[in-house]
Amino acid sequence: MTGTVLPFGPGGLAVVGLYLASLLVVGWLGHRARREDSLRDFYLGGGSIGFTVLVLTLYATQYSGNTMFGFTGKAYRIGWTWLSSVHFMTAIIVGYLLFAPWLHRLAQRHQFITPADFLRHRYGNRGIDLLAPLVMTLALANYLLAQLVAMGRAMQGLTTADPVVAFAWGVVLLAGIILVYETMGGFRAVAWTDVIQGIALAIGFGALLVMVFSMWGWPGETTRVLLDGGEQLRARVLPPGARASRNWVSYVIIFGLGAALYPQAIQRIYAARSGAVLRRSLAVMVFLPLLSSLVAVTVGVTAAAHVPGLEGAAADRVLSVVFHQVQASSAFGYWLVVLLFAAVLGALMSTADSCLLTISSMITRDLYQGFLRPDAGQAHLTRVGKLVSWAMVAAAAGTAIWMEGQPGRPTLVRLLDMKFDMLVQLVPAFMLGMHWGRLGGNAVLAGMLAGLALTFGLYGNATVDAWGVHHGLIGLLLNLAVAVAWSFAWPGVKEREWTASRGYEDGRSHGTN
Amino acid sequence: MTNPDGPRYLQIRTWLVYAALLVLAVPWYWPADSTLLLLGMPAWVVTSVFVSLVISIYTAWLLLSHWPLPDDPFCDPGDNTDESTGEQL
Repeated sequence: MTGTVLPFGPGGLAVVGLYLASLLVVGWLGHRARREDSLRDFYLGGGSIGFTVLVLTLYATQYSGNTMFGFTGKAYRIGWTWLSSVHFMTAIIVGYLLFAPWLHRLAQRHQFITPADFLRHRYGNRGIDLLAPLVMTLALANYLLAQLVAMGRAMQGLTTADPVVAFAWGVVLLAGIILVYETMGGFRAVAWTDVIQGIALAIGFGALLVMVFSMWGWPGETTRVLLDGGEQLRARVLPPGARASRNWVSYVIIFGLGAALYPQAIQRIYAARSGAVLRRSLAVMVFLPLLSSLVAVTVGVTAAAHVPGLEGAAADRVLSVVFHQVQASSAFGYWLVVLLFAAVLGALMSTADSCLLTISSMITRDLYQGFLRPDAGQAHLTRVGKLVSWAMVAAAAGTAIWMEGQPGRPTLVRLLDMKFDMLVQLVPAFMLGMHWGRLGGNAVLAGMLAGLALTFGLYGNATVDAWGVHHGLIGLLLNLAVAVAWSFAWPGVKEREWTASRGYEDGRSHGTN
Repeated sequence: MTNPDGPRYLQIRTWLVYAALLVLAVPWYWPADSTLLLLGMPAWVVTSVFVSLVISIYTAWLLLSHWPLPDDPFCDPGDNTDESTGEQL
C-alpha cells in the first residue's frame, strides 16, 4: 500500500474537511428551501430544476467512482480498447431520444415521482408495479455498493492506517455525511451538492490531464513506451480483436438502452422545469464523455506505460498511485492532488446520494405506499422515506465492508455490468410501450420475467463470455420477442387512447389522458 | 401539421445514421497489428475519438432542432415555438 498512500498534511486535510462541511451546509439550505412536506417536494424538489443545476446534477450523477477509479483501472488493464467507454457514455444521451421528450411531458402533467409511476400510468398492472421497482432497486443497490466500495478505497489511499480499518472508516464517514444532508434537504440537497461536486469533478478531470501530461509527457511518449515495452504493454495500443470489438458494440447498446433508464436519471427528467431546459441540458451532456471518460482512459493508458505492475482488482487503485507520485513531485503537485481528491469524493458522493434518494423513493412510494399503506399521508411517507435511506446505507455499508475482506472480490466494472443486465430488461416497458399502444401490461411482465431468467441463467456460460456480448442483451432479445408476440396474441386494452396521447400524430394534440 | 413519418427521433433514417457512425467508431476494420500513428497516437484511436465527436454533434443537433414536442409556453415563456412545425404556439 505504500505506493498508494497520500499523506495529506493539516492544510490538505483542512481543505477536504471544509469541502465535506460545505455539503452539510448545502443540505441545510435545501432543508430551508422546502415548500411542503410531500414526496414530490422531497424526492423531486417540486419538479422545478433549471438548466445549470440540471446539467451539473446529471453530470455528477452519471460520472461516478466508476468513471474515476473503474475506468482508469480498466484502461490500465486493457489499454485504448476501453475507448469504448467514451462511446457508451455518449450512447446514454442517444438512448434518451427514444423516450425522454414524451416521458418528461407526461411526468409534468401527471405529477410522477418514481419511474414506476409512469409504468402504473401506462399499464396499470400489479405485477409490473411490483417487479419493476424491485429490479430497479436491486440494480441501484448494486451501484450504491460500488460507490461505497470506491469510497473505502479512496480512504485507504489517504492514510497509513491498516487498510481494512481505513476502508471501513471511509465508508462509514462519507456515507454518514451523505445521509445527513440528504435527510435534511432531499432532492434539493442532492442536486445542489451535485453542483459543487460537478464543478469539482470538471475541474478535477482537467487538472488530472494537465498533471499526467506534465509528469509523463504527451501521449506520443506513452505510445512509444508501450510499443517498445514487450507483448503485454504493446497490446494496449493495438486495435481490438474480434471479441473485443463485439464487446465494444455490446457496451454501446446496453448503455444506450440500460443506462438511459437509470432510475435516478429518469427522476431528473421528471424534475426538469420544462422541455427546453431538458433538451438544452442533454445537448451539453452529449459532449461530456469527451471531457471526462476520454480523460480517464488517457490517464489509465498513460499509467500503464509508466506505472506497471498492478493486476486484477488492484488496478482500480492505479489512480491513487498516480496521485501519490504527483503529490511527491512538488508543492504544486501536493495541492493539485488535494483538489483532485475533493473531485474524487465529489464523483463518489454525488452518485451515491442520487442512488440512495431514488432507492428510498421507490421503496417508499412504489412498494410501501403501493402495496402496504395506499392511504398513508404525505408527511408519514416522507418520514418513512428517510428511515429507508438510513436502513439502506447501513445494509450497503455493511456489505461493502464485508466484501472487502473476502478473497476474489469483483472489480468495479464487473459490478457495473451486472446492474445494466437488469436495467436493460425495462426497455420494452419504457421505450416500446411509450410509442406502441398495442403493448399490454401482461406482455411486458412476461417479457421481463423471461428476459431476467435468461440473463441470470447465462451467468458463467463460457460460450456467451467468449462472444463478448452482455448477458443482459441476450435476455433483452427474448424479453422483446415474448412481449411483442404476446401483444399480437392479446393486444393491450389501452392501445387507442395511449397512441393518441403521445401527441405526434397531429403535431398539436398532446394528450387525452 | 401531420408528419407522415412520425417524429424525427423515431424515424429509421435517424437510426441508420447512428448505425453507420457506430460501424466507423468501432475499430474492427483495422489490421490487428496496426501501429500506424497519427499525432503521436495510434491512428485507430484518433479515428474513433473523431467519430465520437461527430456522434455528439449529430445528437446535439437532433436535440436542439428536432425535439418532438413543443415546450410548455407557461413554463418557459422565452421559448414557445413548436419545433416539429416551426410555428409559434
